Amino acid sequence: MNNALGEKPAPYGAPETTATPGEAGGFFETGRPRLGGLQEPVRFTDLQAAVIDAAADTLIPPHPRWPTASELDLVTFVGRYVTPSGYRTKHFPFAEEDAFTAGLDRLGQAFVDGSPDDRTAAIAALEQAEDPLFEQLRALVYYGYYSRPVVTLAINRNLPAGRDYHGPPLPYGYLQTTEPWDEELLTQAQEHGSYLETDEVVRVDLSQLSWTK
Amino acid sequence: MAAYEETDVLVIGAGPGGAGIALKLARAGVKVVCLEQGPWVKPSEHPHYHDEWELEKQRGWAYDPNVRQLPEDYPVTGTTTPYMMNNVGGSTVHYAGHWPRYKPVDFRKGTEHGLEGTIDWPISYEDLAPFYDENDEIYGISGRIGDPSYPDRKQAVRDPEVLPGKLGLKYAKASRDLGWHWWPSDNAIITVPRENREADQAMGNELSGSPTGSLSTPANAHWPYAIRAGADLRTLARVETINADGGKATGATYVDRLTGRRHEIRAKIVVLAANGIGSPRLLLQSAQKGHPDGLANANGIVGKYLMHHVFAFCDSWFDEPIEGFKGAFGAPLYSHEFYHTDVSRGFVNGFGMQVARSFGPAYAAMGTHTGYTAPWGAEHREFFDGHFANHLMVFMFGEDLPVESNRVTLDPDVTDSSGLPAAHVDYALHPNDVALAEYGIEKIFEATRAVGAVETNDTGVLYPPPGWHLMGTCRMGNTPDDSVLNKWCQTWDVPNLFVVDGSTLTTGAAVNPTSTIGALSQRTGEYILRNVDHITAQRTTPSNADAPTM
Repeated sequence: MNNALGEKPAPYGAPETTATPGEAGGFFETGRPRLGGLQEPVRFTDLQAAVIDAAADTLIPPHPRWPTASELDLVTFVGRYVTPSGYRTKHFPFAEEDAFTAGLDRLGQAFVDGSPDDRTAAIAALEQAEDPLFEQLRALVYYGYYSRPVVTLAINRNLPAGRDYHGPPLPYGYLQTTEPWDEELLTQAQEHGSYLETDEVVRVDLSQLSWTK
Repeated sequence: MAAYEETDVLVIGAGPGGAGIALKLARAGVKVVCLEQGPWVKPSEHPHYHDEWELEKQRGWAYDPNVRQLPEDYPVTGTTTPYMMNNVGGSTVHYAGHWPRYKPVDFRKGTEHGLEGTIDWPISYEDLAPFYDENDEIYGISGRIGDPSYPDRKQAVRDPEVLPGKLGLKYAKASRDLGWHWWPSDNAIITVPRENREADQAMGNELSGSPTGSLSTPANAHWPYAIRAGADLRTLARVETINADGGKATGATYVDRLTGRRHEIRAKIVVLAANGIGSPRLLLQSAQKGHPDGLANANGIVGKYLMHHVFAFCDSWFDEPIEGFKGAFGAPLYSHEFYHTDVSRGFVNGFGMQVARSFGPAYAAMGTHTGYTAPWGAEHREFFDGHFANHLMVFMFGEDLPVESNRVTLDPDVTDSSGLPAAHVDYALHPNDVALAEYGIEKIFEATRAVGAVETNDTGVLYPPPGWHLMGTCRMGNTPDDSVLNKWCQTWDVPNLFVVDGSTLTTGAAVNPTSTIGALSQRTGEYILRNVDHITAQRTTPSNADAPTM
């Protein structure tokens, strides 16, 4: 359905094309960006996908007790959170398709074929150069990896502090596994603390202030 | 057909300030229209059921409207990160729900030190206390009565307090061992179900709201009942101007964001409740004949004395599980050991230590609250495994001085999607605030190290401060020379125009402001109800001494 200005809604999950509604692109926003990112992810070439996987394994190296990043389809996850070509890059991680894929292409086959040390050097060079691709890749890989249910299971298995972590806060919550107050502690808490009554408030000695000296 | 509609009371903004008044007046049979530029936030919009819940915190649930950029948001330029939301329920739709009150001394800071723009409130804690209780009952508050650092509040209604978990117990023991004050927090998080609202499940992440209704906000505590009582709540209704004629407010003109059409509503009384940035913005953009510098701004004080609180985030890690991902986010406990002024420390005012929760593993990898990002590559695994959920964060949360040059103005060069000027913020930290915050950071780590913290990291004094709290820009005061409002929240210039929101607060105390905004809303609503004929007959706003009493 069009709005009063005759604009069509932007594709679900995509932001509008211009800063000023009613101008240029002719799309209006439907509100909050879609949870889970784009309904139709940005598609990458096979080589670009291989670069994303290789980067994921470089940022979070494979470990015998943890899922391997490149086996978790982070490519699709990344595709859901990159802004499609032609749309304004409004939302985190502020990665626009054309610039993002150009960066992947620059890493290219040499990065995919490189040894772990070569790949580490290539990512370190991006970081050193403050290339926005570095922070975009790191954020997408960290957020993507640690949101996958198989990684949640590994957290349960491997980390004493993560034994009860179950991923999204709901529907389960943590009511059954969160410790209650200790009555003795609460009783002790009554022994400390005081307040000034309204008519007890008087001028303090301002000559002692350190910042005026 | 008239080119305008008429109502008794027009409320602008559907957050805590506006909702409290609308509910009270509608229940008393007063005809109320409320204009809200944002929509209702639907339960399905919250990210709590999604695997990607942590990433979504940075997108549609980003705290800062300049980052979030939803259609209902407006830009705020300058030195600020204004953590506001524009929708039914206002910014409480993404707040932690921590619900402390001001203390009696907080209403008398002019007497205590009077530094910069500090003045006494025109009312006392005792004046507001019954309205705190009344307001709390509407919201639904969990907590424990008996904190010795506050006056008795046996009349307050409380659900049982939220669970502390390992995290809360850890900091409580640290405070106890040091002989410090601490107490379980009051939270706007229900632990007993209410009509249409589920009780808290220790889910956490209240900073992205609550799809179950466990977080108390006007969207679930007020509006369903205000509408049932006859209030007319109009969403996507963005006010362009508050109109005035002959020294009185006549109503407002708003843009319907769905159609782009303008509408005028006339009212006997107008209540502005658009938050500490939005309200001064709207008054300034309502400059018109007879009010060349903005409405209610003859003395030039509108927008001045902005306060945010001074903040530092303090992370501590332990070599044992803390499990910060569990439990209601609000806060399990707080310490007010350093709340009161002690000039031997070299500064006035004080701070609270507010113990927070953590989020999930992506939050740990991305650097928790202090930018301590997990290294990538060979060191990643060991770092993550040693830090995730071994983490405890405390907010150093101090009172900032009201400074005249910290202010909200209009930015004519930037506009919102309706073409209205953006708000602009100038805010600088005062040396007193910096001294206070640096002392506070030391004290927090003194506590966590005493109970075994093996590593710490902090943000230093945050600048600009995280703008969760937008206060003081249309403050209540004692005379038309020191404030925008009299002691009943009536603007000095326009007797039938009231302001009730964070901008109303004369000083910021060292506590979260929403319970006090809500209490002021109840008090102002009661005052309007009892004095409506008197107020509408006034040609000028009475002094605090001459105003009719409750």
